[in-house]
Amino acid sequence: MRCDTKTFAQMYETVYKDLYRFALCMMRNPQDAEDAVSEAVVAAYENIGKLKKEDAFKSWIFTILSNICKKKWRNAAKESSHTSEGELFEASCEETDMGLALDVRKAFFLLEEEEQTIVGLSVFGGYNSQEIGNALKLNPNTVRSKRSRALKKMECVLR
Amino acid sequence: MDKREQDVLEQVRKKTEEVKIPQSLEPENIQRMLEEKEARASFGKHQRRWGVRQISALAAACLVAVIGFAAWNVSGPKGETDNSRRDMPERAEISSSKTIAQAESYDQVFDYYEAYRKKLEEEQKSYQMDAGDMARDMITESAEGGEMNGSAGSTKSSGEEIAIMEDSLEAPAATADAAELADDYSQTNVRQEGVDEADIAKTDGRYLYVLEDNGNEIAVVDTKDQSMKKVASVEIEDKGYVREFYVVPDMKKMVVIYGRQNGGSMMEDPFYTNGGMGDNGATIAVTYDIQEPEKPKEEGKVTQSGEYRSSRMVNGYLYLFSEVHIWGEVVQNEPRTYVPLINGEPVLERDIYLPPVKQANMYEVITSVDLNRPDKTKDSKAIFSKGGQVYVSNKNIYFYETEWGQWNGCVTTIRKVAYKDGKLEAKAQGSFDGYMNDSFSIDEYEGNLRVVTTDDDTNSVYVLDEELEEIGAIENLAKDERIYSARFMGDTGYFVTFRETDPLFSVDFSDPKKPKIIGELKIPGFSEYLHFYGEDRLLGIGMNVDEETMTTDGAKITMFDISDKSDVKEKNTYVLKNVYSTDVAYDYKAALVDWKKNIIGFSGYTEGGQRYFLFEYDEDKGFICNMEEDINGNGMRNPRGIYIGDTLYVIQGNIIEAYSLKDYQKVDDLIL
Repeated sequence: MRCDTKTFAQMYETVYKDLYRFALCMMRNPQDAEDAVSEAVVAAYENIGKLKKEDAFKSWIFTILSNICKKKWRNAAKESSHTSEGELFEASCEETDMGLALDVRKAFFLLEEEEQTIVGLSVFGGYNSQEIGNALKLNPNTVRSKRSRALKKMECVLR
Repeated sequence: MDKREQDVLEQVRKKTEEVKIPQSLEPENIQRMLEEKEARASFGKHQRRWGVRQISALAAACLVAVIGFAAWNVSGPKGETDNSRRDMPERAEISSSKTIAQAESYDQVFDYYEAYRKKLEEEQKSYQMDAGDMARDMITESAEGGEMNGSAGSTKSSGEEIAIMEDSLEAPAATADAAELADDYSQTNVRQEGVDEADIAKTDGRYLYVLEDNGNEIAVVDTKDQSMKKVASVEIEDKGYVREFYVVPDMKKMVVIYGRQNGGSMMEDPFYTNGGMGDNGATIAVTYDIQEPEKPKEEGKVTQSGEYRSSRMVNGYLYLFSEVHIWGEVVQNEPRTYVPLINGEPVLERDIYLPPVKQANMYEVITSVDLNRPDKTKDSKAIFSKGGQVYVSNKNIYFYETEWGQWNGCVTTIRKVAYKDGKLEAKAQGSFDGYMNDSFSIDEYEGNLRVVTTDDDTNSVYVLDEELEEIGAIENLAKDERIYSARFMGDTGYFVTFRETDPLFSVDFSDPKKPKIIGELKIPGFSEYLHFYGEDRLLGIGMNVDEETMTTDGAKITMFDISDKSDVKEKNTYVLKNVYSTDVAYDYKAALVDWKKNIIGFSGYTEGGQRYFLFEYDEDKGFICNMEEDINGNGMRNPRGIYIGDTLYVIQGNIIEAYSLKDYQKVDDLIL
């Protein structure tokens, strides 16, 4: 589709809160979440010509965002090995300024990267296993069993 | 998705509702950002990576933020709650043949994939979901082909695989002679006795081998005289990502398994189609000679398509499992576009096992390597599938996958491949109702296979014979509950279900044709991991549940007395009030349990961070907590506890902390 910044912003407006919530759960840090969403926006806007139908905007930009979060994770993992001990990524206990309820943060902390994405897409994208499978190129069965396992882990922390 | 799962999603949804969205991400600011970006681009400075924050201060200054309430998906996850999409399990499609079909030609394999693709297409139409297609289109447009598409990636060897970091001053190349290796040390907690598994930290009795947090190197740490010193480091190729490794002390070998993504950089490929989740990449196993642990020598390596799933080591043979998705452009007369590659060559037709269902889009690739010929793949099979799990007994590899009905009911199909000295041979296939909690729910004993399964809201026990023919069953157990953990010993099995209380069931399999429930012990809480602890004792690690509020209020360890199988008793319990989760619950390799040494070690999460707990068990006094220490390391992997003689090493990320097992005081630490 063709699209100017205004149309884009209108489509974006319908999804941006969920995008940010998703990114926050993935990155667990408001700054990184903000960066991830803005990168996703730029990537989406530049490639908007490839989007065939406006209806699909949400799942499309979610797919992009989840890939960006994944990328950032990988980089963070590589970098953290080069930083000194004090700066290492930490599931810190300070409630301040993390923007996300402590137990939700803990619950996501228990999950593997892919599980986080699956849960995130279920909650914030509202997608079923088939759709998530399409987006992540996973078998829907695999998505279901991974999701089930992930939610089982989260259950203990969230109660 | 069941009710419990829906509840968890709902909780996350509620708890994130109030999250404050940064001002820079408000639609007005985004629009402004994009406009400025376009303006710059038209200036000829096209910058791909252009974030919001750089201009957000400016934008915020001239903005009155009044934002309409964004569409919030109140109706819950769409789709799976919708009745119209219910549909019966695909039982009709499951082959009733008892033997595993080998592919006669690549064309036949292609047909299975085509069938899958067509079905998926139809489903997608009915789901009115086209973003996945679009993502796929974008990917095929730009994909240059990963391992599956026949690029030379897997045959390419990049030379500098190993870099040895020598300790500059000392180290007159100490040979670890046998006398120096203690034989009192812990090994990775495995599913099946006699079948070794890889892990992220290992020991040979003197040296610790630890995967560093960067995922790229393995540190060799000398622990002589309780004082730790890094003496070498084994580094794999830059693009690689170490998954796990083995140390085989009696062969003086180390095998490192790593993955390689064939990804491009973000600049060229904003959708990471080559490095994204769909990329199959390659799994590589490199063998090192560690006669001199301070100077590991590379001996050879093998490569196969796909993402590493798991591996086993039996009698000097490595069995390597990877998962390959078919994606990208598939061309019928080019098998490399849809058949996995082993050391760069497509798997032979006769080594491809066709699935019991008439369609598939994935493979489980199984290969074997003789550690004495580490540069050769001894045997290889590709199990064509829709995705599944592996259980390895002392003789057979079982590959099982669950065929889910859209809403209710599921069937697990299972295929059995025998292994011996690296030779792999298809044996039989079968199926049963329900899905399994994890690989502890399936167990081979005297040729028969016993499984405990959950199907919708009931649970069952099945016994299958060597041909995977069902010979015994108990069905409709523990209605509305599901299985949390299971363990088998000889002709008895134990499993835990949970809803309000924790029934520990004991099952007698002495007549495999007539399995019998002989005991049912109800106690509060549930065990998520079971481990036999010496004679007549069964250890459970799980969660305690407050009976009034029905919420978990801490981790719990339980010792069951199983001396009378029909009357199992809860002998002792210990509740860790402030611990809200343990790693053991979903990663059995995180458990350090040795009844001969009488230690039970595991890590848990508390409000104050991660801690390591060490217990001993006394018949009279019950559990005694000898140690509760903060884990100071960090990283993306779970902590490990390893002991050598009288020293316990708690390893997390790049930090190793050593404690004396005599007085439980910290004696040393090391940052890698």
